[in-house]
Amino acid sequence: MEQAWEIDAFRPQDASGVTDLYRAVYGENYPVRTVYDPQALIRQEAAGEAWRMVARASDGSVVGHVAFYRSSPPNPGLYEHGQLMVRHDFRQTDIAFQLMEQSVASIPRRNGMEAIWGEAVCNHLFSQQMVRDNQFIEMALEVELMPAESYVKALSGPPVCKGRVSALVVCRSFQPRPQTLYLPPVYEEILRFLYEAPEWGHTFEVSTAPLPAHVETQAFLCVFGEAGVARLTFDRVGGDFEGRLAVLESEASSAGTVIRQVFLRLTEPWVGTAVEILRRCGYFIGGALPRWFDDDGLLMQKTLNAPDFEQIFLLTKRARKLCEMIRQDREMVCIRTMGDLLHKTSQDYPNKVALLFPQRQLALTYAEFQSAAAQVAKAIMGLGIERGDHTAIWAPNIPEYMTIEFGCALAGVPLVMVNTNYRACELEYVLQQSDTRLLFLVSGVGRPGAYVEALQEIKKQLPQLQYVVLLDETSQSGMLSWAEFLAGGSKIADDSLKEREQSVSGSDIFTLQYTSGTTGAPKGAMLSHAAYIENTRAIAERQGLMSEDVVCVPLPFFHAYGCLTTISALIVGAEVAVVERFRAQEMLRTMEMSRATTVSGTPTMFVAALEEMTRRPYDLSALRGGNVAGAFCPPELVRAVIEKLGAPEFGILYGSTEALVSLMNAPSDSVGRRVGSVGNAMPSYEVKVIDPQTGEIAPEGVAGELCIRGTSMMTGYYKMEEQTAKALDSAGWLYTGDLATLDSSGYCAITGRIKDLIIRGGENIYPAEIEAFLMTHPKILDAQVVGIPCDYYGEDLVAFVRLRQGQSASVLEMKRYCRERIAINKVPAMFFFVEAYPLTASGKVQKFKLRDMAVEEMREKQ
Amino acid sequence: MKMDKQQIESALREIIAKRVLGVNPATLDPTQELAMLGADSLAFSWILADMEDAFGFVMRGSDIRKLKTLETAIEYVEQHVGQ
Repeated sequence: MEQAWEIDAFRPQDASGVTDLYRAVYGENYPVRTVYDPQALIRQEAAGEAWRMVARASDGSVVGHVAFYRSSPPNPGLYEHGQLMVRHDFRQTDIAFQLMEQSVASIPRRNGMEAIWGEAVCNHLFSQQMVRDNQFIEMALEVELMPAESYVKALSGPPVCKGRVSALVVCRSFQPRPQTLYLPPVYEEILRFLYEAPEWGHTFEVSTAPLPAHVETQAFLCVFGEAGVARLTFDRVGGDFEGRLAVLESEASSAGTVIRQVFLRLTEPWVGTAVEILRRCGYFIGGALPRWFDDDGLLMQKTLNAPDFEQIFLLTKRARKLCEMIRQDREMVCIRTMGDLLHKTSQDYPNKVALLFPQRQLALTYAEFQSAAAQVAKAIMGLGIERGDHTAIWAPNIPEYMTIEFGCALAGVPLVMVNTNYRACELEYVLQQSDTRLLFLVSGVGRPGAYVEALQEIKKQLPQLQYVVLLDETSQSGMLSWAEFLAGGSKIADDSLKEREQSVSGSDIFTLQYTSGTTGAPKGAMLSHAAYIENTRAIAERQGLMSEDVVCVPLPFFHAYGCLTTISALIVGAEVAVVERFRAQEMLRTMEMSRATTVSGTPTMFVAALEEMTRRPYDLSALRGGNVAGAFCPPELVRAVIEKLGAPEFGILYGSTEALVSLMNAPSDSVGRRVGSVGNAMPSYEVKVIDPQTGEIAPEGVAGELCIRGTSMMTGYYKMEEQTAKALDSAGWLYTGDLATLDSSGYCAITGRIKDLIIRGGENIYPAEIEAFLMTHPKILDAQVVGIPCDYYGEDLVAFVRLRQGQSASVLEMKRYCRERIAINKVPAMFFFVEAYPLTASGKVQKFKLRDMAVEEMREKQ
Repeated sequence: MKMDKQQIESALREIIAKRVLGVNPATLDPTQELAMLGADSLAFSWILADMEDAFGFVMRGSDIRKLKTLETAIEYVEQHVGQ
């Protein structure tokens, strides 16, 4: 019986691409199956079968990690198992490579970067006894694969243009082992070249015996160069290596780079050519791809250091564009702090509007924004606030908020973003716990003077709070006015600010964002500049944000979601249209006035917006997409936003204060996916779903606790080591408390909160499922379901429902509707019809309050 | 909704027989515990739902405790619908 081989891929496009590629090349019956299993590595790690090395920048931030794991071989006979996988996109990989390279600088470079790195990692793994002698290690760069039809086209179609071969790279770095390889003699030459380098000191034997039936031998050739070089043919063997290259239209990859790795099955003449090229180069090349291009798009001769390799060329104009993109990518790599971001965007888009406040008829260009932030930074320094000291802000979405946020970043001063709903006692706790030295506040939100009164009430308990700056026109004793504060910065020289800015590193804390504290005292999640940069860049990429976009932000700035949405727009030079305090009318008017192209909000915001749109029309013709997050979002609501707001690219994302945005839909995902899932993992994130009882990975499609790990997560909770250890385990997993399922493509659907889970008569019931169902009732605008104690079932379901305008309904009517359509045990025992839900400042429904209300109501009805 | 005791009993006998396998509405002993007749939590959920439809008032899961036997169920309904 023919043996089938299974390859684990970490990304869906790899899985389908690899399987289809093999079948296209070897025929439909080639016994290989590639399975996308986002949790394969995690599972192997748990079983002690995989290991991970983490590359850190000098500031300690994680820039990449490399995992060694076992996998079934795609090519039986040539290697047994084991693969080394770079788990990050090119830019991160590039840094990881640099760091790895630095760490193994003493190893001879003859075999090029990848070989060096591969060797170093292998040595490490061997020294740690992680790899047995007879294991084979394969180095694989994480690359975008083209769809199978592209390969087929490349392999069989006519070439579409001519050009010289830019580089030929055998991308596998072999760590050979003494063994017999079943190889056709034609491969001997290339393998000797690879294997018998003096410093490797390995020998091998080649058997010329007939190959076992299942053994296919192949070598992979990589052609790096232009945008999707795929077909490679040679007119002649040797000589000038004139070649013909079929250039395929490239896809935009998640990493923003279009360099492709192309696997070709070698036929004899090609191997001869490849060997000849390699000989003439004197190199076996591999490694981080972007560094091979210089700004002009030339293959970097310096890197190759091969004077006789002169056939370096520019293939098409497109290549120039590609290289420009790579250059920009490399610049992005250099952005490690918010200050870097501000400087880059103000340089690239000086006269473009960065922040628009339509209600104030105020627009700040990027240059003005940078100048204002620098002024704030100097004023902060003028007060003697040192790098690392804490500053806080208690204000709604006013213009000063953003200049303070970025001013603090420039000065290296972490900003505590205080919830605008706080009262005196909560403010006292946060300011005290965070050791805040400087506080910015408005006189009040809702009621003028409320914030000032609250502060005066608690001021005596805050000895460390040295300065308070009032952001209103009014003045108060013991507080600096905004003008006084700014004037204090005049004594700080530009050079001093520059020096301060340069002292700030990516791992420095950018913000302290306090969690809601429903399960105890609020905890201050420390989020670094690097975490925010990495995450917002990934959001912008996945959402396809460009500088032409206008991003409407109705979310509060103090909330991580609002902060991320704003910065993901700023990072690409887009315009942010700010809603100062959320009201549906104001949000829609802002979108209309600014001609917003995207909008991000919470489910309740969109429910209100849809309701408002039934009252009067708004011109949202510029809108193309956006996100909903912050709470469970019923599919019906996403569909309604797509249809009624006319936002075809709209989708759901998943994030948390601790892990920022870790899963997200892309506009290219099908509507079904964007409606029914929160997308798949962001670059540099891993997700797994575990059985909360056993900690084992849950079977595909089975709900369990969603766990997240990645490089853009919080550093920890400020001064709360115990709570940090509870939230993040030793392997870096964050236990979210959310119930989720993962499908076979890695798309995640949130089914509820563990603590919201209702166990009725021994059956697990997820309120989110019932809520989504209730929204299918034509009279229901939206619904919330909670569990209340029941002396028969243990818990029972209660629904709070908002009816559409002008509608009325009875409890029995609702129960009958449910009974006819869903399992009887999922039918809420009681329905309460309400006008509004208790909400947090960020628009989340406070379910615990609903639960209390239900218990109280039911008690009265006894 | 006005119903006399006989009407209530008759309706309840029908409901119980419909939801508990093997029960004959005519011969159901009013003092026999429904659980002993094989009514499980799912059957009780349906009995409760049918009772809501038949008598027109809202019941909760905890009300199942008051439906131990046909007799107690009748009493419970009488309290809620009046006669």
